[in-house]
Amino acid sequence: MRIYRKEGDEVQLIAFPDEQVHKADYFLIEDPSVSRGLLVQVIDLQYANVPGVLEDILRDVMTDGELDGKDVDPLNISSEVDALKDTRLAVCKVRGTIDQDGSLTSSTSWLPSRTTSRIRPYQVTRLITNGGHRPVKVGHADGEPVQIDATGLDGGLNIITGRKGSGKSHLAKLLLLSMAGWGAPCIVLDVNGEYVNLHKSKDGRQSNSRLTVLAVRSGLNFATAKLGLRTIAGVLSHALDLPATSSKVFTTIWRQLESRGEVSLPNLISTVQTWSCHESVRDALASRLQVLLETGLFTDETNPLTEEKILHTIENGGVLVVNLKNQNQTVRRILVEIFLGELTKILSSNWLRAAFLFAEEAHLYLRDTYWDDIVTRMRHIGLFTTFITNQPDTVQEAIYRQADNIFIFNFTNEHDIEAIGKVAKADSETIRYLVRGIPTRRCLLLGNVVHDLPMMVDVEPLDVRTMGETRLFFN
Amino acid sequence: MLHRTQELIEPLRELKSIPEGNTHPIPESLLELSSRSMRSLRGASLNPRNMSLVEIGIDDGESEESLDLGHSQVSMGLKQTPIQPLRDTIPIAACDAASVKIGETETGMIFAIRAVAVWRQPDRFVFTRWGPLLFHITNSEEPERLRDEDSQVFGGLSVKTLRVLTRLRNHVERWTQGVLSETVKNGIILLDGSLTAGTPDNPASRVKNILNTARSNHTITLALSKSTQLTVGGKNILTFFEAERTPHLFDISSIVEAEYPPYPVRFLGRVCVVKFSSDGFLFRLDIDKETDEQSALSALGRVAGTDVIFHGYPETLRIAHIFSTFTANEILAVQRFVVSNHRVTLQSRPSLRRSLFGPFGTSRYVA
Repeated sequence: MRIYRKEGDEVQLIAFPDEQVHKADYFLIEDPSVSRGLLVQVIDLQYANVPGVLEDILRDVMTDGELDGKDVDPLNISSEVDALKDTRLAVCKVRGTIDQDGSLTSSTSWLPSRTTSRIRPYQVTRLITNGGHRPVKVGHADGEPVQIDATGLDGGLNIITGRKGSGKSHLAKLLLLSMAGWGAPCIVLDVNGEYVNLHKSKDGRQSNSRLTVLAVRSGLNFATAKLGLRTIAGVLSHALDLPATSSKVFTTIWRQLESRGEVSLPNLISTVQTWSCHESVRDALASRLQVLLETGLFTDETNPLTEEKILHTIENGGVLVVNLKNQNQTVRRILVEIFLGELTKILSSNWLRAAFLFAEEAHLYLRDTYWDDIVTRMRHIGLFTTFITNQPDTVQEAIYRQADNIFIFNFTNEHDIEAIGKVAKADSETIRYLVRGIPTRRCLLLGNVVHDLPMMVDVEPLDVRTMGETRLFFN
Repeated sequence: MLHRTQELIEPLRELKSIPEGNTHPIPESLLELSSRSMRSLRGASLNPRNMSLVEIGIDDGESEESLDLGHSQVSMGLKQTPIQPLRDTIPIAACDAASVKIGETETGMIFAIRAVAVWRQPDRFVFTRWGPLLFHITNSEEPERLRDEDSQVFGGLSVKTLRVLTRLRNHVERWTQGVLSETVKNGIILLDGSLTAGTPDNPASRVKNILNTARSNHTITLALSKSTQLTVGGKNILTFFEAERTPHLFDISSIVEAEYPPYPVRFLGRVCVVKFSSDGFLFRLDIDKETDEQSALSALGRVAGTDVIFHGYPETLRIAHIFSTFTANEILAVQRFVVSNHRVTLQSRPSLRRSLFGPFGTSRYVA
């Protein structure tokens, strides 16, 4: 390989046909005169723009049909011509400098010699995937196992995205089980009910994972008084769009019942109906409380799901799956409001150092204001979220900018690629070139877990019942 | 040693699509001459030819003698003979050769030469391409000893005697024409250029031999020139015949021959101006002098009826030209070959012309 040109943070290398080069490969351009090397990553492969190649190809095309012939080529120069035709241009991004001691620095303010530099493949895994103290095996790169450090997911905001069927839920499950395996408390907001059997292997064996699945009328049962005014008022305002005036009246009613120790959903409904207020306020409150009653989430207020119980299910590596399957959007939003409220209480009280929330298709149930809340306030109290979505444009731009780790699977749609190109952890060209056309289960890792060195990984198979595959008729 | 072991004969014999007799190996003497000239390269530095597209092809100018004819003679009126396109299929073959400069060394230049022969078959074309062969042509006078040795291996002509590239290319092209004259029976051979010979670069005896061999195989030899240096009052002779729309022939031999002294230049063909198709261009055409008029017209009719497709130019000859021409990619490949097989180092020297004239110094028309 030879250096062709460098412009900005882009280096172009000439690769001859016998040289192995693939997209996402790393190469080290070693300059012996300065005892260091420029670390570059291939983001695109093109044909080298060799002069005259068009004429050659046109002539070859002529021979395809009515022409047949033979070269008497004693010097075998035709093989050299073929080699030139297949010569490739590897468009690379500069990722840093490898110093003599093997350490990586971000310095890119020098140029390696074009004539004396040696270009060789570089196993970037030695820099980023030793696994650290808590290794998580995520897959393979060029046949070599890739392990990330679980601490790279700690304290951050993660996004897993890719088009439908590309393998993003698979990776989410792998990360979830691995994190739980390292003792991390995990909660999953499961829209499709595909996490409920994670504790079983494909052949039905029980795994070591400690998994608790809760669903409406199957463990998800709350007591109004125990949830408290703040949570219930939040549900009414944010999930059920209660106007502010009605919300004030509701607070007054709540406080009166609370002073008598009589807070319950039926009591709230009956009090509202006799409360002296404007009819429209009464109707607004009554209808919304009735909706709450009909969700089935408050059927037995004597045996509710409390913060303590939630804490018990997730501490020391437990996984709590909140099954939102078959629930309408209102119920989903109510449940998410309640859960985020409860988690906030748990984390604010320091009962738990931190928790990891895996939110599948969060745009289906997360209100707009929560996006900011999750990446700012909740992050500081220890709730670290992983968003999983196949609609990257539904995630706010601010989320991409603040994401600490991004796992990107295949995308072909320009609009989707443009949306994820806003991440701060990589330049948009890297994403645009590397993501398009990658096969199923192959993922581009960006962010802390790979020390900001973008890496393509074939995600590890998982021996659990995922139930995430699309249901088919002709099968 | 050059990689000559990778040639030639065995794979060609396996190719059933090429008519028997068309699989001529490159003459050992030519290979030896190439090998010998390139041996002197070892350890030299090569200033490779710049692969700017505007420069491609400038080495291949035709080397025809120029001649201005008297205006009165042309205006006297020449006989126009119509050409009737005939659909009869007979063997038609054509050949062409090309040379190109690869780069400069301290002592000379490296050139590549390639020749192509194309045979028209009922359902397709078949071609054989010989080369490229590489020649290092030095500027300096060589000792008499070397000249003698080279003379023996190359039909009495050494590289040092030939001196200029056109002679080498002519030699290769004449060899290819010789192959066609031997292999085409009862057909037509189309050559690129003319049947004018008799200069040191282009010995008349060689052309005569080619014509004789073709005649012995009942084959008619036609030479077609895309451009001609024949002028009338400074104006190209082809422009005098542009008005006629139908396929036709003007025989201008008598005028041309009258203007030339009988020695040393020999016109071995009848010089004509031809138009093969109504929408085509005019070309200078040389017809083997020994061919009678009726046979010649019949041959032209067959070319016009079966081989002329594009702008009134025979397709076999067009393909021969296309396949012999070097592309920039091929020149790069040859440069790569020379560097890796002859232990030379690439050392691009700055272009004086470009340094002096900047963007105005790249054209070949700049003096």
